[in-house]
Amino acid sequence: MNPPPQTRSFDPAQDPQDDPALREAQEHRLRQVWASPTGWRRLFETNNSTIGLWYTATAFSFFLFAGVLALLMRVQLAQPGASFLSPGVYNQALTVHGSAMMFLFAVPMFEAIAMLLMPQMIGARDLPFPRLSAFGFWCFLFGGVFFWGSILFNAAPQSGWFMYPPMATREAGIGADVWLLGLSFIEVASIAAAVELIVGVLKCRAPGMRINVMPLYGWYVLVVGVMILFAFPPLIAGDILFELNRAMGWPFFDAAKGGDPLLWQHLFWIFGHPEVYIVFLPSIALAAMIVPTIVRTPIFGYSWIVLAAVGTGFLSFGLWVHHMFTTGLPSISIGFFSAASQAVALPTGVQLFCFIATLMLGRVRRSLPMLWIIGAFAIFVLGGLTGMMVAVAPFDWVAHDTYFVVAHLHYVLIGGMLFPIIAGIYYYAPLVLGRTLSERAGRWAFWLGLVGFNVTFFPMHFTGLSGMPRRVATYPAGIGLETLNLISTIGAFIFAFAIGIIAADILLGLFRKRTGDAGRNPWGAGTLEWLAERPMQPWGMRCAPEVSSRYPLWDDPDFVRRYDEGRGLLPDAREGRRETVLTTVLDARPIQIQRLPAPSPLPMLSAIGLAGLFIFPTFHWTIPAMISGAFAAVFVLAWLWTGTNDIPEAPTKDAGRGITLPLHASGPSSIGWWAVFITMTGSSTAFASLVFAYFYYWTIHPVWPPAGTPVMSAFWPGIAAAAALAHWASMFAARRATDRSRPGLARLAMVVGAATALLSASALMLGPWSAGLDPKSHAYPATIWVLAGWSAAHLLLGMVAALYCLARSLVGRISAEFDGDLWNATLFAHFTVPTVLVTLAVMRLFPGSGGGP
Amino acid sequence: MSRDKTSADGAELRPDEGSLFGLILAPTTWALHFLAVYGLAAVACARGTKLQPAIPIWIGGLTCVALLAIILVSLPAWREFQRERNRRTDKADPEGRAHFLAHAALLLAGLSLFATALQALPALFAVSCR
Repeated sequence: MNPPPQTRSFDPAQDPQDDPALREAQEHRLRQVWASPTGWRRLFETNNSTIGLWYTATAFSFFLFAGVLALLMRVQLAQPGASFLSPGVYNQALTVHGSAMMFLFAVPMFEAIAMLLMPQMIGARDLPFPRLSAFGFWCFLFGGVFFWGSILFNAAPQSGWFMYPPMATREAGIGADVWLLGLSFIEVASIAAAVELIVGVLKCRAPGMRINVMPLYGWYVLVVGVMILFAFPPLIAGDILFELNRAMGWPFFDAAKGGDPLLWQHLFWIFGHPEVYIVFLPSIALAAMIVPTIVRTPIFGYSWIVLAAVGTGFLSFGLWVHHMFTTGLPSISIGFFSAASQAVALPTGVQLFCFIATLMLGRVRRSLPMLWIIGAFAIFVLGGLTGMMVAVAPFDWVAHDTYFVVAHLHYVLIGGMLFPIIAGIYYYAPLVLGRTLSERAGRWAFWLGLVGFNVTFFPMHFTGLSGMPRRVATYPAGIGLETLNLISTIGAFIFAFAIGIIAADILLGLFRKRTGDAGRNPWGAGTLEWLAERPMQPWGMRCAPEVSSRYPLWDDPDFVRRYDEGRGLLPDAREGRRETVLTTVLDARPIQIQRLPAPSPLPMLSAIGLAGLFIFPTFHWTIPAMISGAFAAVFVLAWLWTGTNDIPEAPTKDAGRGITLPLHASGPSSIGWWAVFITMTGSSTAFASLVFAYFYYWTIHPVWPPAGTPVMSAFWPGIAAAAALAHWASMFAARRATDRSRPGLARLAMVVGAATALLSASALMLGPWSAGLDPKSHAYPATIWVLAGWSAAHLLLGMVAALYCLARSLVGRISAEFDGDLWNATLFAHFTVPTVLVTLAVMRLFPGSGGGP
Repeated sequence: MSRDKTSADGAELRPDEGSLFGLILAPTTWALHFLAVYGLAAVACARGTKLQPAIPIWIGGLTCVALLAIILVSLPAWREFQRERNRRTDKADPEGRAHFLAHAALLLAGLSLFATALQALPALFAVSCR
């Protein structure tokens, strides 16, 4: 049971915040509570502003490294028949360049910037799960260094960033495993960021910041967070199939044994196309923050931009086959994807027109961020137009796998992602670095960058149309490619020089204060992140101010003073705990005070353990991997035990302004429940991808399951189904018994819940085992085994959850009032049990599998 | 649900009325239609040689159903939007918020209608499994 929020009359004439001594004491306490640990303990920090900065710096470094690889490739291509890079090294360079730009720069940069800036944009002190942010950062750092480092040992993958089988499944050496395991590890960080950011946008906004006055950046982050939940899991599922194929010989992509290489292309591009929008939308979201400030005019067509963000989010999932137009799919299928690829231009165009209209309504000030935004629009529109060309299938048949596509994708990504990010760096430098970047260096960087970019990539349209193929280390002389390639190489160095100027400007600024402090809110922006004090304060927000418009700093001249005087919610930290206000999803009414964890080494240790679990298998070190995984499990459990569903010292707390809010919630009104729900949505998407694999095989095989497949008896699947249902019922019963304050009965139900989960998992594996299904023999038994394994793994996690609840109950940390752990464990079962039942239905009831008609 | 909905007394602490789901009903219908026509064509081409001549009829039927469904699921937003057409969508009160959600839902419905109709065009002139 959660206590409700309460109000009492509040007289503004007798505001305790009128007392300057009190305000000073409050500020002192807040400063102490939010202060970063010093020395090497600083690595344990969880504060979003610190983690966000590390995350951004790491992603930017990976961008620079991947850019160096591009320069090496351009040197190799400057002349025909050059031997600067051997073909093997060239293949590694192109694979790592593409993969690193996507997985180590574009997607993490979104997560980093959102973590760094979004909490303050929406008036929150921090994100709802700070330790999850830290965990995601460490996963990203370890996975990224491992992946990027492989090229220094000549051990990087060589099959291109999309790793098509059968070439990639048969690639010698560990390169492909580095790709699969290293990047899967980083995908974990992306899912973590999605959970964090979705809950952050929906539940942590300042009081009164209704969904229609939230900064547009929040809308974009929400859309992209949800997109990650549906886009990344298919790739994770594909990675599992791929690694099983490589390491264990399960023939998912081996046509000789009933597999199909095209299945990988489907799974990869169901991820890969939405991913383009996952990196584009949050970058253009920066434009939605910058443009109104620069012209000092509210954004034009807020609802239309929301339409564009949500609409693009949906349509982007209907485009993946346009990467597969040349694979021989039925022309009617190609038609569908061609149509959807054209349709997505509509919402994309709408948001550009909204930005242009905003620019026309206000007066454009000359400034660096605006320069980069305008450059971004120009380049992106060109990339979008060539995108419309390749969306027309017959044209794509000509241009596919040529430099035309290289030109197209760089126009889209550099115009749609890199330029807006650079605009964001110039715009937010005063907030994050405490100073503006050099105006003169910035202008040089922009013009060199714009010219260098076009000189590099524009000629590629022509080399592509002349037939120059992508991903080939050289080209022959005498077919008209020499001059254009030389021009591209020169352009690439001009472009790199521009990026170098920006990097040097940032670095110099970190080490010596070249230009002075820009002061508070130097651009005169209207949104909450510019409340940040000078000198910078660690608390994120002095208090949670009441918001009543889209640009409170413009609309209310008194807003900043009231904020500085702590006239909002939570102006104090009396108990010495980090806190933020939770509000309702639509109208942002305060409903709870969320206690946030203090700095802790556990996220980093968990990430180190998980790193071993992912990285050691690359070298086939099974035992160290398992030991490392066990350490990760222990650290994660310690993390849960020491900081989730804490019992507060009092049920409620005075939040100020006459509002008393509960300090704890469980069930659907708690953020922990939301996090489980969101994570399990992602998990279900991965499971759906595995089921898709089964039915995909069914469509390509005239007889499925293949003739001669051993028939599975109904015995073990029956036991598995019955035990799974018993697990479900037990977890539900445990929650009900706890609600009625019958702990003995609840504990019994938890024991039964754990035992039935174990029984169901065992029976699930015994089914295919007793039938003698050999996963190496054919794609059919391999698919059955992977489905059974996926479900069994979830059941084992359900068992751990039940035992965890039992332990919490035995030490008195679960009661009718504090039953959050049980709600979450039960919610987990709500997802797991249907997964098990679908697996069993596919395994046993599908026609031909032994039990069906 | 363990949330107590009745005892909050201040108006600013009432639970929300409405939900975000109204926003995604129309595009979700587009997505279901997309999956249905793509799945139908893929399965018919791969396994059902007898089904193939009927593909355009199926797609036409499914498209009509989807277009109708988009209109139906958008009716509540239409009524909310019509209540006071000139209301601003940027007012920080529950009515402004509801008006905004209705407006955005209608815009998304328009996009979904367009994309769904476009999606059916291949059935008119590209019906081939080759």
